[in-house]
Amino acid sequence: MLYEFETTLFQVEHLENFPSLKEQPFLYKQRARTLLQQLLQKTLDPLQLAIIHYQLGVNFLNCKENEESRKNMAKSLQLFSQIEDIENYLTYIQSIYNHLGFLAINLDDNETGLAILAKAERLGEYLITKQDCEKRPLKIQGGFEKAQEFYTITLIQIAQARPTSKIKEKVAFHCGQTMIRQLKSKTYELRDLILNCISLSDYYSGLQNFAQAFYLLLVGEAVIPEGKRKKLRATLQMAQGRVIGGMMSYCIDCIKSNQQNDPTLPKLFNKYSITFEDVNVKQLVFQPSKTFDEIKSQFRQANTLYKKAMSLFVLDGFVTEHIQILSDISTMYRVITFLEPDPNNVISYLEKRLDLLLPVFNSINPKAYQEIYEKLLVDVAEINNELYEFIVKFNEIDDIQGGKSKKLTEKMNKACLNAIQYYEKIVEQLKLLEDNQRDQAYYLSIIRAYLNIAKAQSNYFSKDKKIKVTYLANSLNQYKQLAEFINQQNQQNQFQAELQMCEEMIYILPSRIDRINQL
Amino acid sequence: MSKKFECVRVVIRCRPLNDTEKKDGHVCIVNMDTKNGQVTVRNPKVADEVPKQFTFDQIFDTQSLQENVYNQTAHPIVESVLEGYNGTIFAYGQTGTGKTHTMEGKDDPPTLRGIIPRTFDHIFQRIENMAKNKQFLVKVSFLELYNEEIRDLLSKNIKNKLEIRENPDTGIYIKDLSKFMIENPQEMREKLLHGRENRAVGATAMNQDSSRSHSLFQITVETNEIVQGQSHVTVGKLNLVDLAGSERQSKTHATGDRLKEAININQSLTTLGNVISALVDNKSQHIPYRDSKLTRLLQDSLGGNTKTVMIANIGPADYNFDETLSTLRYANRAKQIKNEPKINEDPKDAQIRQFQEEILNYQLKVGEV
Repeated sequence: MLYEFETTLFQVEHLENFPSLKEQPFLYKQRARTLLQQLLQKTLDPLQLAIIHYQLGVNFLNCKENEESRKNMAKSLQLFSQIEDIENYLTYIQSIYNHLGFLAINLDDNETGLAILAKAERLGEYLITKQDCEKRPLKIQGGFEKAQEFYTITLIQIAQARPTSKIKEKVAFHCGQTMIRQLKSKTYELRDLILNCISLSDYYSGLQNFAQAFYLLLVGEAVIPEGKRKKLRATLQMAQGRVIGGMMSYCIDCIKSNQQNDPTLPKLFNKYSITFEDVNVKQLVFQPSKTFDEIKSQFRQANTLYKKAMSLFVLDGFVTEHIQILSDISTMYRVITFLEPDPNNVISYLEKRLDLLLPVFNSINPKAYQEIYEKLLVDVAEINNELYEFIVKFNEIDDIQGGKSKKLTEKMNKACLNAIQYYEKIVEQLKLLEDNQRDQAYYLSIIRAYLNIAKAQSNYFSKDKKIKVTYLANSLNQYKQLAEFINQQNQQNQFQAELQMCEEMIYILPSRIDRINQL
Repeated sequence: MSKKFECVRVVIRCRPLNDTEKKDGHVCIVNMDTKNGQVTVRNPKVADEVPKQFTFDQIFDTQSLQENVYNQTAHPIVESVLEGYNGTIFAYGQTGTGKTHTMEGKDDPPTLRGIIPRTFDHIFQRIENMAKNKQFLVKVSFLELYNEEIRDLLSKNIKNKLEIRENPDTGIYIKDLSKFMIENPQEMREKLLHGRENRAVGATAMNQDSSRSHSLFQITVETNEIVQGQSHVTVGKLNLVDLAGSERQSKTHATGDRLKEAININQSLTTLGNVISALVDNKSQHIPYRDSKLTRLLQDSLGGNTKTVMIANIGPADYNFDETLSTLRYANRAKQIKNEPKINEDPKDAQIRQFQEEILNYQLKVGEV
């Protein structure tokens, strides 16, 4: 019987893995099922029955017959629980719990599913601890590796059903352990491994474990054969730039809140949870930046990494990656501006951001890259807005004097006109939305755009009285139209402050126009 | 022609119980209220459980005709492609739910023809009836995505893997993907059949499971209109996507190489789901296009400037309950995708504060005068 049992299982495995036909995708699986059902009738051995029911459970799941799968898994569990040397078959129990948990969650019964997965989790922890304590291979079906694999799957399923930070931490750790095993046994697809390195890196970056995040990316790079898979390598470099940029951003936030000397920061930045012993990559140590010079150094590091990635991710061929990198660098300039004491440098950073984004904004076909185009449109509108507003303050521009520096005033005017142009484009896009698509986000966006247009109109400077008055009059009209728009759309309650702004400007601007006319 | 932003249209089609199901005593657990677009599914195992209800743009019940399905789903999309826009029709649903019947149908009788053959005829009928000052060029390509690898189904060497690239002007394309000029519906159909044969042959040769791959048949229509001696070219692209059977597989049942396949096929659909979720929830700034070639290829069909319809097929029988529910949930999320430009999320208060400062400034200046 044992011989028949084992050969049948072998045949079943073969049939389960056989490529199926499109018209009858479950044909071979159903044949496998028939063999199992026949075998069921031939044995009374509880262990064999338990295993057959388990295999049937897997088979039914493969054929998307979830209820039958659940029944067989439950039966298998019951049979295993009656076996004396169950310790040797705990990986089956793990897998059964994983299946039952998954099936329950699939039916939206998260409570039951999570309760079952909690058992799987405890069992997995028990097996891993046992291996660690006994320091010898676990004598269980599939061995310790199987136990670890199933434990990782348990955690992933729990994380999907109930994503808490505690479970995510465990999931991340065990995914890392899985990757370590894969590297050791060379059972991995390079692309999958790299993407996992990037995903895990993103996760640890989110926890400010920047050294761990960067280390994972270096491991990814180390695994790529020299001179090959350039795109993967460039993707890793892009991710590295993001980690350093993220770290820089975090350090700036600490400086802003005067926490740069917090003694826990170095420990946070350099916490390691996953190490690949078999990969020749050193664990880095990152020092939190405390001064503007140190921040600038981080900026340069990130910039260098991004530039490396961009040498492959050229615009023609890799539009999305290319623009993503430029946007990331633009964001770094935005963030670093907070610490910049020299106003001329602030202006320079804003202009630099436009230099990065405008060429690609003007190159891409809006129809082919609608989302990217719109995001860039908003970015260039807002950067121009920020630029002219900054110059108005710094250059002390008023209606009469025009500012300390003529050159800066000219810059301000150019940015002003650009802001108007781009915000008008945004309004144009928003107006294309159907009535039933116009939600609060729509109103917020369009009202903000109108306000910025009106404001920019009123800030445009010209020594020529007539031109200045024309812009002020345009601004006045814009405020009036906006007030009318808010009232017509019944948005007075939601946009009280904006409506009040409009009313105040409508009150003030005529006096301003008169003042200029009297000059 | 003004550009319009639309949500992804999601329609559900339920096939009738087949003879085998009736013979085996299976019952129908799906109720289709076509007037209100509501699909209700009851749990056959739990009698007192409240049936789950979903509402969609359109639903087609077991009596729906192929012609009606085409007219109400694909027809407007094909029309917009002929006007120079992009369109995507994809079929989603587990094996055995009538996906092939919906997309292809049968040639005989002609009333049973599905979306694809009707699309072919529609394109060429319109071309024939177009104004004389318009010239058309129709091209097709056909690719398969299996295990995160793209293959050209119309190529002499189907084993070659292809790469995705992006041109700033024309958008996403597949490098070295063959394109064929087509002059009539028959030629188009021949290409489709040829690609299918290659798919089956390739699957056997590479030990692939063809029910686990996605296919994308793309029709490009270039229109050259001469107006006052000037040439105006518009290009419309229609994607006909046949998605692999709907998946929400546990990874536990797959072992070895199949685990990787399951993860990748799952990843394509799961990531598609992630893309959908990310777009809908608006919580995630990062749209994970990078993770799956399928979502990358359909990048501008989800949240982009493309008319998209997803036709989700379901089975009516009690034993399909789990997968039917899964399909409906997935379709439910898909219908919430919308596309609109959003101003960056600057703190509202900061802007108001700036305005207030400015007003105060003006008031002071006016006061000076």
